[in-house]
Amino acid sequence: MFLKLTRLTWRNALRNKRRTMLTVSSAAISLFLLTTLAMVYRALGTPYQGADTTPRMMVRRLSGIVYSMPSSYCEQIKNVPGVAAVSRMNWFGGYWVDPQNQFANFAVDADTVFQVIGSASIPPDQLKAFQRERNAAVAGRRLIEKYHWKIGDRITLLGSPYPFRPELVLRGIYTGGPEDHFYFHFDYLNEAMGGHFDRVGLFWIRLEHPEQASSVSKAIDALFSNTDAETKTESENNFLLGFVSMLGNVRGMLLMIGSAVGFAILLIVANTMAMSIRERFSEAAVLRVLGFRRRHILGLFVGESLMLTLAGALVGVGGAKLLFDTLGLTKVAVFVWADLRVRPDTLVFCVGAALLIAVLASGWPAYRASRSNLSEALRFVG
Amino acid sequence: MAVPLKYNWRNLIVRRTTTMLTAISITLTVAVFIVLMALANGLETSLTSTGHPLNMFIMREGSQAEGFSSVRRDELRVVKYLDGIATNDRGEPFVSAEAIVLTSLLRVGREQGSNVTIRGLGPKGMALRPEFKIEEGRMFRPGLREVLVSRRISKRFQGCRLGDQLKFGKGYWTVVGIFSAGTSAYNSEIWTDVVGLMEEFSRNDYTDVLVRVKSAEAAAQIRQLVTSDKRLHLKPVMEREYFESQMQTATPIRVFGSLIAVLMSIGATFAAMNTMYAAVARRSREMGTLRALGFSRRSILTSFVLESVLIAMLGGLLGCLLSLGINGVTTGTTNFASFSEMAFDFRVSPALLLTGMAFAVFMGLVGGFFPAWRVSRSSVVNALRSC
Repeated sequence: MFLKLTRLTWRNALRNKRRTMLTVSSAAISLFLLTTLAMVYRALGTPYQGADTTPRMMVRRLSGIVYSMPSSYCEQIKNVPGVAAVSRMNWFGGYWVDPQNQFANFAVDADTVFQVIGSASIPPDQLKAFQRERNAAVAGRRLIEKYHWKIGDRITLLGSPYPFRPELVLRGIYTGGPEDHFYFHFDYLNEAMGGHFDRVGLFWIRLEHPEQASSVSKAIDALFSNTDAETKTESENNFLLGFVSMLGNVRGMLLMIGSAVGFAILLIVANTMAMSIRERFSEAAVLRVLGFRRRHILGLFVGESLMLTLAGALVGVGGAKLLFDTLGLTKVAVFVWADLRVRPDTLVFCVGAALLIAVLASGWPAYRASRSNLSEALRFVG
Repeated sequence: MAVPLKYNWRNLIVRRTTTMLTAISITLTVAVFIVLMALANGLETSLTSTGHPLNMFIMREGSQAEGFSSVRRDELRVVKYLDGIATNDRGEPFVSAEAIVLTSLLRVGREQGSNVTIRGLGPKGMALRPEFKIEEGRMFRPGLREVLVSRRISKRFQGCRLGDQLKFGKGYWTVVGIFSAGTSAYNSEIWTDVVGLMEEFSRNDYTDVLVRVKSAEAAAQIRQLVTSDKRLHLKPVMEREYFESQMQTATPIRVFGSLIAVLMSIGATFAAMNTMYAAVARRSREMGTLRALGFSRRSILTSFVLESVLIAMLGGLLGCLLSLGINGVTTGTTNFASFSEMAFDFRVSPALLLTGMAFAVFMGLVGGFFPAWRVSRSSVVNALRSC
């Protein structure tokens, strides 16, 4: 019975090919949009998922990231139990050649930065060259691909809030970890600023065990409470979320637009189903006369709606997943980085939404068709 | 002779359900479009309308924003007395040496802070900005840890109302007044006196200097003087240009908004097409009758397209009404050029509403054209024969 109904549903859907095409295409485009919005919404809530970032934390000034901490904090943080590695990290904010070429460049402790990152790999000889030379720099694979740099290239960073222009030599390329970062020596920065530069923007730390995050952060902040420069230690994810929050109520906007899009899909499918069912009102009555039960009629129509919407979902949601997995974007706004790909839970949500829409769109007219007064329905002229 | 509009209107009323469903999907598209453009509008307005045409910032060369600039006292001494700078009636140069500090304040109802710009102004700082107006309270007195808060900041952030004690730097400051500055970017700032601010943050250098030049020619002259002087590492930029250049924040919103609107409109147009194809199929006998009565192919085509446009206009009107609710709502984002809060209002302008309606009409036109084309080409006899 089920198979017969499925075949009937399929044939019904193909009766008016143009209408089916228009509905499926429109559902596909709208579901693509919905998936994209859901993806960004999710990414802004949890910028990076996974075991990669959980062992890392950021230490910044409590009063805001625009303030700095003394270098001496470094030793003290290193000695806190549970801290595996520490690196000073000053956002340099320069660009390369053109102001359009902005990327994340930092002055870090070359000896420890890769221990902190953990998941990045760099050829040992390149790492040694980086650590040895004062004006050396390393860049992540994504940056290399974007700017077509090679080992040995001279790279000068311009336009930084710091009043000097570092002239650096690229000595290493790393993969894994944050692949759009660029690191050079904190000591280089120190020298260029006169030799007694004591202002550290961030301390990037790696935990020995991610479970200790809460106790380690409390311990570090306790060390510096009641000083002139109180700290706040938070997970890398929360640190990134701070930037997201600076954007404003973006998630609220996304929610609003997403709801509008979802509702629009509902209306479009409902419109199609209402028209189809009205045209086939008397047909449904004939089927019931022939012996099909009410629930079969209901199933027929709701099934058709499901078929249309699922076809749209396949193209729309599937297309979005394919597109963003291929693009692998990470930049949402100037300072906001997140992993922009369609995550499994987003996928499930979108397909689920499509199914729900299909049922809601056809529910009422299908119900009416299945419960109609037979003799009146047979006489019905759509 | 044209098919009477009443015919179309009556048809829409009879087929209420499908008319409403189609119209509302257009409503949603138009509303989303208008809201997003209103966001971009508000952002751009607050940036383009900042600045007196003869005001000029003098900041460090190579600094991308005020906050990253610094001007030393000896440089200030040179700049202040440059030929071409306007003087007030007492012969004093119309100049304000200023300091900018960013502080993190908590937004109302949030746990995460945002950076807000605190600007320390020189004694002539207020006069240099003609849109400045104290709305409540009074002006701050120098050296007494008093601040003026802009109305927008006062609304959006905790602890910024008149009489509140605001914590930044080493301690508390009293909010003695609320000000507004037209629709300019200064509406997202907290103002106090420059000397007090610099002392609080142990600053020796000013951030930048705002000067009033005598004329456009004088501006060019000063530009020449400043850039060619080897003692100074400064660059002059007109106040208006400086804020306009930060408008790049608005562009991604416009692009994003347009993209979403286009995608949604395709969906809505397809819905309109579906509706009109169904209408055409259902009314083919009527169409045949109309042809037999003497109406031309053209007038039937027009009639159908008009019907589609009517539905779209209905939807568009609803969309415009819906989106009016957002007009004037204050929101904010971080201007990443200055790395601090920029509060602005959603702006639904009459031009934007018109654009929204035009957008709706366009969707109606496209949605109605192909079905109407089809019906106008069928033969009278076949049409009359169909059921």
